[in-house]
Amino acid sequence: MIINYIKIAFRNIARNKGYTFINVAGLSVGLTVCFLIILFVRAELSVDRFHENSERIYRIVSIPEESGFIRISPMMPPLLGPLLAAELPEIQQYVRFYHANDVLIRTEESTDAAGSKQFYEDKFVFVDSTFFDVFSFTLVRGDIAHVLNQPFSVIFTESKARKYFGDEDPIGKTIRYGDGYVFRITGIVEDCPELSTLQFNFLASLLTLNTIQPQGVDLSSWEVFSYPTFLLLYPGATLTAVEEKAIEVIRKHFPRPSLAAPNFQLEPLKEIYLFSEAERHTVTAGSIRYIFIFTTIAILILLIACINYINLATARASRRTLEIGVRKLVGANRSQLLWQFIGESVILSIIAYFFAIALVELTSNGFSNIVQRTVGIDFRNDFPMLLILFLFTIATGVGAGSYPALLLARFKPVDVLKKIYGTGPKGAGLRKGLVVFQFAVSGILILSTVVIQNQLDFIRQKNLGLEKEGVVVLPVKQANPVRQHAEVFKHRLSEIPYIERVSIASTVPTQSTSRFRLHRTEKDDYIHYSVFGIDENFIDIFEIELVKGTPFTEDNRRTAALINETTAKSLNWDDPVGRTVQSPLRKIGERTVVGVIADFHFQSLHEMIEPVIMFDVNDLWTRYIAVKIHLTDVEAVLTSIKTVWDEFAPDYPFEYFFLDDAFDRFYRAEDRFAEMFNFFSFLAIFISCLGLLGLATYVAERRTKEIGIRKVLGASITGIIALIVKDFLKLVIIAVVISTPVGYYIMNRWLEDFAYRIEIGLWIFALTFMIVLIIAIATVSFQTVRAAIANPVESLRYE
Amino acid sequence: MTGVIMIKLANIFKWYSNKFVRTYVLRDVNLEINEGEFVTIMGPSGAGKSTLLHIIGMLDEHSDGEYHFLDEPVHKLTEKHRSELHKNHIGFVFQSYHLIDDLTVYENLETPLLYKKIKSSERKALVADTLDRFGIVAKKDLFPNQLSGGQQQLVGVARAVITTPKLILADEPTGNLNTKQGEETMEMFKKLHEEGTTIVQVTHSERNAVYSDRVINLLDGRIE
Repeated sequence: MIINYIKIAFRNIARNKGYTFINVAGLSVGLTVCFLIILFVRAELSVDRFHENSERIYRIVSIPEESGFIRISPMMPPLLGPLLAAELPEIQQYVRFYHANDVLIRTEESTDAAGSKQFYEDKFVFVDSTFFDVFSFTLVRGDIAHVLNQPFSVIFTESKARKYFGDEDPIGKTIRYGDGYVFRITGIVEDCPELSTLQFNFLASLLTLNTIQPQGVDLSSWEVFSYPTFLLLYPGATLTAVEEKAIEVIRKHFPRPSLAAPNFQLEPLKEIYLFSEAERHTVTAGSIRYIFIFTTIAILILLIACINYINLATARASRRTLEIGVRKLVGANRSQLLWQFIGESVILSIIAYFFAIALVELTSNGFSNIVQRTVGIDFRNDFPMLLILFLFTIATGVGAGSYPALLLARFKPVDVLKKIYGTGPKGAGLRKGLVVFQFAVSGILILSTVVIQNQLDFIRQKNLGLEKEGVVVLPVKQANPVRQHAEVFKHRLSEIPYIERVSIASTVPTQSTSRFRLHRTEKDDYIHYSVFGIDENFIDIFEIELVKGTPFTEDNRRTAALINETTAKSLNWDDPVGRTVQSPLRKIGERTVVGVIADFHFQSLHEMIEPVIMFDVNDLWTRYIAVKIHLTDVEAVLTSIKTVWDEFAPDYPFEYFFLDDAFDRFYRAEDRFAEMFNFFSFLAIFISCLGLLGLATYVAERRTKEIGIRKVLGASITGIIALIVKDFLKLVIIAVVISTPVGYYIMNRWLEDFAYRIEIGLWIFALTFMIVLIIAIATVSFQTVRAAIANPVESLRYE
Repeated sequence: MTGVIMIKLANIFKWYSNKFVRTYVLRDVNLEINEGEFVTIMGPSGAGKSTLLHIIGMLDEHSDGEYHFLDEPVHKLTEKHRSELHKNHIGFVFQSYHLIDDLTVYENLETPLLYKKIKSSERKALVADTLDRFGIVAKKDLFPNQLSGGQQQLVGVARAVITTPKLILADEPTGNLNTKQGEETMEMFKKLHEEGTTIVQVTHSERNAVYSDRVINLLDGRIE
């Protein structure tokens, strides 16, 4: 029985190669997209699951009060972890982290002929010795019990060990860290799995920080929020109970209890990757939203492919009435016919399955790049997934084939005998509805693509309140002699031709800033502000507007401070000039505000502009040299700068970046997203057009006789084309009308993510409409023109 | 002839409604056919012969009246029951053969057996037998469009007969055949009739009518 069906299915396929191709192509593409998304979602959902204790690990985050501009933050004071562990019996263990980036690592002894190696490294993470009790990272060498017990001990990952020591055994060797601190290597750990929010290159003992004081910040204060802290709870502990107790404990110990301590919450480890709204500096970030969006898109695309199948199958059903009638006459009942036809669509989808798997193989690299997650099929080990995808395919085949099968199975043999070919007009209503649906979806995707592109362009060109062109920034890292001799360095650079200005600063726009609290006397609370350490040239280099008062000069800088408009507003200072602010470093004391600068964007346009206070960089720390250059012969200028740099810091590699590039990098995620969207839109439209092509071909075939007669009666070719195209056009217009409000709503939601955004103008809708229209007409006209040109004699011959 | 009434039509009417107009195709047809009879239905074009045959074969529904097949009231049967009757009791032969183009002769013959869920070995035997009986063994792997009209009709008859139905309904079975092929087909019917099969045929041809036991004349939807 089944063999009979299979034989017929294949013979059917062979006879209708064109339509089969359209169906298989559409289904393959739809399945490929679904498979990629399924693999992607599976990866995203399994982040951090590899830890044995994953169910019981939580991260402490602070929730801002309304008055502040800070967001939810995982940064905690160092005293918090041990305090909570001591006072709450539910806590089994705690681990604190301190992340150091841009540190210079140097090996001590020479390794054969190469001499000692040195590199700037990121993700040098200090952790408590409880680290391996809580997290399941694999220690390859070293004794778990002792590996982080001593200060100045460090664990290398396998790749870093290979990088610095090749095949030699690093255990017991020493390295120099930054300014000259010596660490001993006590262990080697496996490289971080990709599916982990915690990423590190080096693990060092947290005890070390008692000696090393990062950036001169006071370690014993409750004001220092720099330590992500994780808690391991005992089984059976209730989250809310622990949270409440913890908040009580904190309030008890937090100094100045009259001032409200921020609220705290415990984030489960499993939810950090997808759901956490906390700052993303210290963990890799994903988003449940992207999963949701991509899944929706995948379903839509598959739906479009299935609709193609349904449309084509029902449209061409009339060809099979004879066979169906005969089968019924020789005794087939409805369910037997049903199974036959569903079987045919299942066979088609199985064929599509193999193409889809091949396509996934081909595209998985590109796709992985775009979504920043390794996605692919491991043929040797992932058989269950292949099986799941196969079952998914079968389900798709059954789903798509059901309606046409039901329709076909219902044919009455007597209609066949009377030569009534029923389904031409019958079912046409549904077919039209489906075409409208397909093009509505395509319309929405096109609209979204246009809007996204526009928003990204807008961001790139928006007035940032500063000038980002022609500014080169030199990061000056730890221990670099340029720090000590900054003024001289600055003077030397100023002498280079085509250099307009040089500034020494603690931070520049786009780079991370340190945040501090400022007491607000009237409300008796705090606002948080970002601190900039600057010199007299800073404002001019970035062309930041001075709104009130006077700028920094050589004379006033020792005692002066600048604030931005947002700060003035938050503090409710109508006339800030002359008022005083407390320097973040208490030992320095107060400074007098001499001027107010206009707000400028120093972060991505996702963020609202925050309060900024600027002090003399000499009171803070030098981390950047900003250079305003003339854009003629940039190469030569850079070379000259390098020459000076090499004089001052021969041991330090010359690194620089352009400010506009740094701004662009903020939107990399969006750029990727836009790429993805363009890709999906293209696919959806491609499949829809395939379907439309199939339908147009079919319609042209059916109306061949009619067209022949009309031509004989005197119709022109253009008249005939217009006749057929008109029907399709109606559908497309309806589709566009539907897609407009839906697309508008969706895009508005996406734009909400940006503090600064475009308005969706009428022209965008008009453009979308035009694009969809042109595509539809182009698709339909090919077949239509061919039919219209045909010789009527030919078409009327087979009467 | 056994005297068992196989087909009993009482006051059968058939009409088509188009908005407000009723077009009558059959008016007050009363007919009884016994098992084992060979009946011919004749009449001019448009008299309603094919419609009557379709109603007898349960392919179409009468608009009024009663129809009993082997004592069962047909209008009360479910679709499932009806297809059972088709499978087991009735074979159809048409003017335009109506073979499945995608299947070979062998497979066309096999199809009704598949729907009856007959086992593979039995199927093989039955098909081989039938091919032999009709003299078309050499053609078994050919497709219908590779056969001549007469050969296709033979296959059509063979397919109708392979399940040994009690009743064969034939609508202008020789309409597309030449004289010789027509004769061969009618001889085959005669043989089947002698073996006890009830046959009802619709035809224009006087020559074909001769083979039957009795002739029913239809004019404007009524039996004359």
